[in-house]
Amino acid sequence: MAQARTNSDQLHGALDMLVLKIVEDSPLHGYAIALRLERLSNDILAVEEGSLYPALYRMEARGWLKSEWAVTETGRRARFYRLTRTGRAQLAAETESWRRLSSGVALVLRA
Amino acid sequence: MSALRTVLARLRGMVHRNIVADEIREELALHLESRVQQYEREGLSRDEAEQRARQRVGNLAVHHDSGYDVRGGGVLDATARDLRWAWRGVRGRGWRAAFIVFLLGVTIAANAVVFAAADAFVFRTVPYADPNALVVIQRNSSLGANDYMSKTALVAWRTHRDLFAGVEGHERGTPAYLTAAGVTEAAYVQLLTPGMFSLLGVMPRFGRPFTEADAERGAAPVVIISDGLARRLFGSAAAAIGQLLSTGNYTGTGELKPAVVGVMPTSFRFPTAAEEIWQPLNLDRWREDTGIRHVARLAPGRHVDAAIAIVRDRLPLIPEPPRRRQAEPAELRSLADFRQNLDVRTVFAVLISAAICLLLIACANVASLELAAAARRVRDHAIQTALGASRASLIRVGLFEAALLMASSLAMAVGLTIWGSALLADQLTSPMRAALANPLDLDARVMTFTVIITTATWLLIAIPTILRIARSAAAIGLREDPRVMAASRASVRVRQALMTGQVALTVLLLVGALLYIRTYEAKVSREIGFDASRVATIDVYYTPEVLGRHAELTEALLDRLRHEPGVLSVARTMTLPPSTQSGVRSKLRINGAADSVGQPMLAPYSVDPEYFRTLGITAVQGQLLDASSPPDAFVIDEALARRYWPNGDAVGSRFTMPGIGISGITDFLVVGVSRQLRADRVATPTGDEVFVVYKKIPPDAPVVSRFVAKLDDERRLESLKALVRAATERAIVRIDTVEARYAKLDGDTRLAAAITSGFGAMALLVATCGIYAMMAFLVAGRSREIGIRMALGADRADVRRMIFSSSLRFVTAGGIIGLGAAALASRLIASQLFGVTPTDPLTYGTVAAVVIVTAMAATWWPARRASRIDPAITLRSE
Repeated sequence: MAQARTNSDQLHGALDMLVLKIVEDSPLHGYAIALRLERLSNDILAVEEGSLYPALYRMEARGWLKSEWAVTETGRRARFYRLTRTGRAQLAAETESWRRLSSGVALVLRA
Repeated sequence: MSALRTVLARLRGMVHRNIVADEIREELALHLESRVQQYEREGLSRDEAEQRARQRVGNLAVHHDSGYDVRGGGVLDATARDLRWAWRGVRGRGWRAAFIVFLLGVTIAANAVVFAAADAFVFRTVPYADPNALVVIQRNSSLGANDYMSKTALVAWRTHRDLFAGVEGHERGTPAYLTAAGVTEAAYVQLLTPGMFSLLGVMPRFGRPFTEADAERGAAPVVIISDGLARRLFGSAAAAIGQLLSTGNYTGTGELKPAVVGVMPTSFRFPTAAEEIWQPLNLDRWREDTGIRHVARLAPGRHVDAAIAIVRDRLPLIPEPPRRRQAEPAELRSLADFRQNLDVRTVFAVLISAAICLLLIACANVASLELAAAARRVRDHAIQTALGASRASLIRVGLFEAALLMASSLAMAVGLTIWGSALLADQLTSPMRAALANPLDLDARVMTFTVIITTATWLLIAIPTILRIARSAAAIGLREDPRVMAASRASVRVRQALMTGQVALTVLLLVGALLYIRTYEAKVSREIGFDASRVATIDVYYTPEVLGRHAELTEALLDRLRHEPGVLSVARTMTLPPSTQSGVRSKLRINGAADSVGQPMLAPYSVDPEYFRTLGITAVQGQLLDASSPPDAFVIDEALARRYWPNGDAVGSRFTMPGIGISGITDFLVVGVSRQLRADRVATPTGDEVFVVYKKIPPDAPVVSRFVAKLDDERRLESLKALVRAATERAIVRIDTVEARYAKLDGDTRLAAAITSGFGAMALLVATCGIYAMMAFLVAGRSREIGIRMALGADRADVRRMIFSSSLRFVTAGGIIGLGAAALASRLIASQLFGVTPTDPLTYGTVAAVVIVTAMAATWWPARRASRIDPAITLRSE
């Protein structure tokens, strides 16, 4: 928890949004989410795993994610996180607010 | 939603605590492992790969904890920790914890038992569906409430459908003589119009209710019986259905035995607890001049108060036989109101107040102990706070501690309540038993009541701790000397107030208990006027089956009794002492002179001459009856002789009672005066004295099968019972002793005296412990002050005096409050007292003395300890 708080609120919010986005299409386990995050953002946003799991637990507690045990393609048991209906709504809301924020920031920077 | 989910996760966490932890561990292990493999694939050595992976993943324990919290493990850990602390706190109380559990267990049980009884007797007088809509239509007469009405009125009221949803009738039937397990008994019968069960809203548990066809002329006789009777006769309620009731009412010719068509639930009582058999009543065949009792259910939406006025208005429309018209007008009353047990109501009001007093005393005592415990633990709390425990957590621990104490007390209370209510059920007098509207059992209502008072007590005893924590700041607790904190002024003042309250309540309880004890003593020590010891009473009631053989059987029994070893003498009597029958009341006309002004009530006993020897009744004048006495010879009571023959010339005089004859005799000859006999009742309902007079059993009297027998040893009673039962086939036999019969007259006083004095003794014990604990605590808290005083020249006696006087101060205050409250409250029980006034100075003085002496005894040890304080040691430790 202490580590999560060291992130700025903005990044904190962004991490949640990114994770939700990643699991939007299909359920993934923690490590897969971490890998996907790195790849999708070309390693720019290399997430510290330290923040990832607390974020996953927190979002699960809030009901945005739902987790269940399943077997990976390599045959290992792993906990897969899936987006819930509330999670989907949350993703939409956060994406929207991110867009507004980033376009606002872009406007300021361009000026 | 999210709150619900959290709760579910936590619940899951509680159940699968280890699973949660394991799953998180497994998840993180997989992640780490995958990362290591990835680095290995990228060309690092195993060691390097592991090192980098670890760096990247971070502290596994932290992830673990955060997941654990979210998934529900954390709260449980906190709870477990709080519970552990609470357990430690309870254990830290040592003997005090055991004392608290015992005290609260006993007092909660006392309240539950009294509540169970009061609930059965007073609060729920009518165990029927929607009882508020049930009413009776009755008339009041000068002889007291009389609910007899006519059949015509009942039928007429039935047409008022706007007012009543139904009107049904019931009346007493002939008792049925039944033999179960070799003992013949009379079961009371109530006749009911067939719709009564549905009117009351109680249906048989097995079988069916009555139908209109059951009451028709020529229908096969049917009965519905109580659960208890079904068990006694047929083993179980279900087995009774369809059985024939084999009663001794039938002589075997013509009449059919009735079949059992229904068995009522255990809780069903109608109209009282005594009735066990219900038979259908056919209104058409009911004689007009025989009364019938009405029970009605108000039409939906009608209220009793409004209905009373409506009934009053419509009364002229209701046809009544002319004779009944002359009586007072009928009136509608609620059934509950009609059935209320007024006489037991006061007793239970007293008992409930006593039980609540006891609970308050216990609460005050426990609160005081807890306050001391909280004071002692200020440092603990300060340290816990300093180590990061939140105030909320400390409050939680405090509540848990109280909850642990209460749970133990509750467990103890439940056990004691079960035992206590069984004990109480045994002690009930038979009038009380008959007045019981409900079985005396521990139902949901009693359990709810118990849980409520336990919870209230729980909060009450947790309050001191919570207040203490809420106020204490870590810094203060650590800085201050606990000894000084403990005796802090506010806390001592609160404890003294609690103690004063306890003393006051104890005094109140003790005064009540002592008043009841003295009433009981006064009642039982009334001079009976004869030697009642070792006198057995035998009452044989033959069933109609042996109708023709009464005389023969009685003669045989009397003969056997006369020859039974150990029976010193035996006599027949038409009335067994003590009798509560009313006598005859009239003016006396002595020797043809003018009528007396007073109208004494005479209770005539027709007896065999041996009666006097059997009961040791002696003559103070003239002689007692013997074989040669004429039928009009009377032995009168000393008190009556004194009143109406003030010159002592009663013997040989004749008197008449205008308009009154006793067994056909109207002119009475006084042959002797017996020693003053205790009237069987304290007084008649109108307050008159009752005088017993004796005469011989007239030769033409119906068979008398009641006997008194003087035994050489009380223990012969059992063999006597066996003898009489064997000699009297198919008869109801009741054997008792005269002493036991007298004791039963005062059974309710005895019960009240026993319970209140039990409560009083308990209160005194508790208050004494409380005074001791508090004084010991004060002495410990003031040891520095005492040391200084002694150093400044106070001697031991001074110190002792100081401690005693500080104890005496609040004991006196409490005592005065308690005596004042008792003087006010005892007026409420004045009607139940006998031989003692509600403000009897001896009672009040005794209680005051007992409480002060006990309080001083409790103070003795702390005072002694205070006087042994060595000033040198105390001052050095500063």
